[in-house]
Amino acid sequence: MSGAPANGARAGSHLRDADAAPATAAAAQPPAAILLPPLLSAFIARVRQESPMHRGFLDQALLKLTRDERGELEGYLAFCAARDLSIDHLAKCYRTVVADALREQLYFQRHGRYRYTSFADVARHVYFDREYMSFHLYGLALSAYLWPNHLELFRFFRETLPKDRRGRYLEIGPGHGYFFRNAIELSRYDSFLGVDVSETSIQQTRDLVAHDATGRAADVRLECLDFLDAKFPEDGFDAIVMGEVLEHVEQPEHFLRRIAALARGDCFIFVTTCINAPAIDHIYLFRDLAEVKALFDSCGFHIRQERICPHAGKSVDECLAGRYAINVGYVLESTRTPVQEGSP
Amino acid sequence: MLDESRLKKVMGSVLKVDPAAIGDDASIETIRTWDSMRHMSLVLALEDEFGVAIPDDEAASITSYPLVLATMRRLLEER
Repeated sequence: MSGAPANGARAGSHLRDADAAPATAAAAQPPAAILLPPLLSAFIARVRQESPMHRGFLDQALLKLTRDERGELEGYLAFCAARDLSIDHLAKCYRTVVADALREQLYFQRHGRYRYTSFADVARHVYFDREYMSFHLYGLALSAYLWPNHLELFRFFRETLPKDRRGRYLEIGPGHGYFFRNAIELSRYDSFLGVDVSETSIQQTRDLVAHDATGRAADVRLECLDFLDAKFPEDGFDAIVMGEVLEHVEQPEHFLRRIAALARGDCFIFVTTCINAPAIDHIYLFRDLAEVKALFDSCGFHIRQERICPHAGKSVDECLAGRYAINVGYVLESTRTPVQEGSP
Repeated sequence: MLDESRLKKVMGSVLKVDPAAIGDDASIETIRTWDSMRHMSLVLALEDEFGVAIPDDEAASITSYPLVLATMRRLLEER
């Protein structure tokens, strides 16, 4: 994930309410204009108290959330509380992601590239480090609401996900499980399969789905495996979702080509990624929108819909010039005649 | 020897405050424009101006004028 506050909080964008109060008095107070539910209020107060430089960013982020979204975030915090995760712990998870983002952003601005370029490196430092990965995923799940670019792509997913189609849904890299859980809740697909290389990710997604079970009968499976090596049904899938994966892999074209091979009929194909968005586990650097589109084109995809999210308060051109993050989401369609996997 | 007025000038320029107003009590708590984005810009600007590399683990923690001053003094002495 990306679009982090380290390169995003627009200077001087503090709330009027906070500005009117003395700095110390405002330290632990969320924006007065917004009524926050109890767990969210406690979480925000904790982060504000311990991350002064993040206060302005948080205040702006809270203003962007709808009332329903604040309720959903409260629900996620309740899910965490049910797992005996304290507000202090969650604030620490979130601050870990923010601190990582600042460090990686500095590295990126200094060197013009991401710190790591091999999957093996980030697997060792992140994916297969269970304790760190747990911190990382809880922090990222919270960022799905608190970082405007992540929120915007989350909204884009919920808007475009077909609500009445049937068939098989596949998600590659469910991560914290939020897209996967929403797909089960909002759509009518008959089966849902999530695959991820991280056992921690699979377990968190499994827990989230179990916690939020709506009672709808659906065949739900989550498996820890590598998408490129996995055996899938020969007749493919009716929906394939891959959020924030391409920047985590060495050869994104392999993932897209396999998606093309697995998509059947009018498959809903939803892909997000990011441009100039350093994070501790990002290894593939897209430097502009054209690179992403060229990759889609070379892998046989046409863009049906797109959502381009430059950093809050900046234009796409400003982001490209200053090398600030742009998050992007696409609904794709395959332009090639489907071929069975393994065919020449 | 670190020129404090030069240091304050860099901080004032990045944080959009009057360098003369930057005193020992200046910190992320007292300067409202000192947010995460400006902090990153500040670290990079200090490196450019003084020709030092601020270690990653220190970059996030120099959140007051005394901390910035002490860190820059040490880095310049070590250079």
